[in-house]
Amino acid sequence: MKDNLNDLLRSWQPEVPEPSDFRRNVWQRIERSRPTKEVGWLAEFFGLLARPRLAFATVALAIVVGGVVGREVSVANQTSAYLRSVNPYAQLR
Amino acid sequence: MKKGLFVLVIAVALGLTAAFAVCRFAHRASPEDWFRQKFELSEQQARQAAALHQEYQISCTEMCARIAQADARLAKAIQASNGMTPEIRAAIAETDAVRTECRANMLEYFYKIAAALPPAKKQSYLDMVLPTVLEPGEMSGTHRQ
Repeated sequence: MKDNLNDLLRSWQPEVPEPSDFRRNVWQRIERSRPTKEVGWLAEFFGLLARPRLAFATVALAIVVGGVVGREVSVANQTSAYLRSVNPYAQLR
Repeated sequence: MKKGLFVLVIAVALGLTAAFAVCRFAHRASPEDWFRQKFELSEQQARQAAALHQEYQISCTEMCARIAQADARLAKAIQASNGMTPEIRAAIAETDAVRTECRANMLEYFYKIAAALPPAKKQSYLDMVLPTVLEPGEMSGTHRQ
């Protein structure tokens, strides 16, 4: 019984004919689904930034970096003001 | 893409605002408060440093005036002559002598302040101020009379 079934399956041929342009159609559909132009790294970067978590992290990082830079600038300014105050040469400027 | 660009613009704007705000806030402290915080001075050390600073400011102002006068004398001697004269040599020597005295006074003041600071802070103070003794800079032309 099992051998008969195997023989039957081996001899079975599908009767639905494959269209002659089947392969060409597949490749055409693949081509159509590709983006029309290459996405640049800038667009990819902005795409990443648009993600909520990354957007939040970017804004938070910018605030922290801004704060650190502001502090460093302030320290430099105050140091410079002190050095001017003790330097007679600088006081004449 | 537009959304990402918007996020970047907002981030840059907030970063600049934060930098400006911190800078402004830190500048509200007086120079004495800044000095005290930077070198972690006690109340007594801060008073001592402030007294030394005020005392030095008097001699610093005097030095400033002497440098200007010596430079003015040299300029006058140069303008009054067509060649090198003993007066010009003397005037040059005087400008150098005043500047040397000024730098020595500055260094003396820096050592006095360093001695008033906590031991751990002395070196960082000297590192901050000693370049001023090595290269005190020059006056701009507008103050030469």
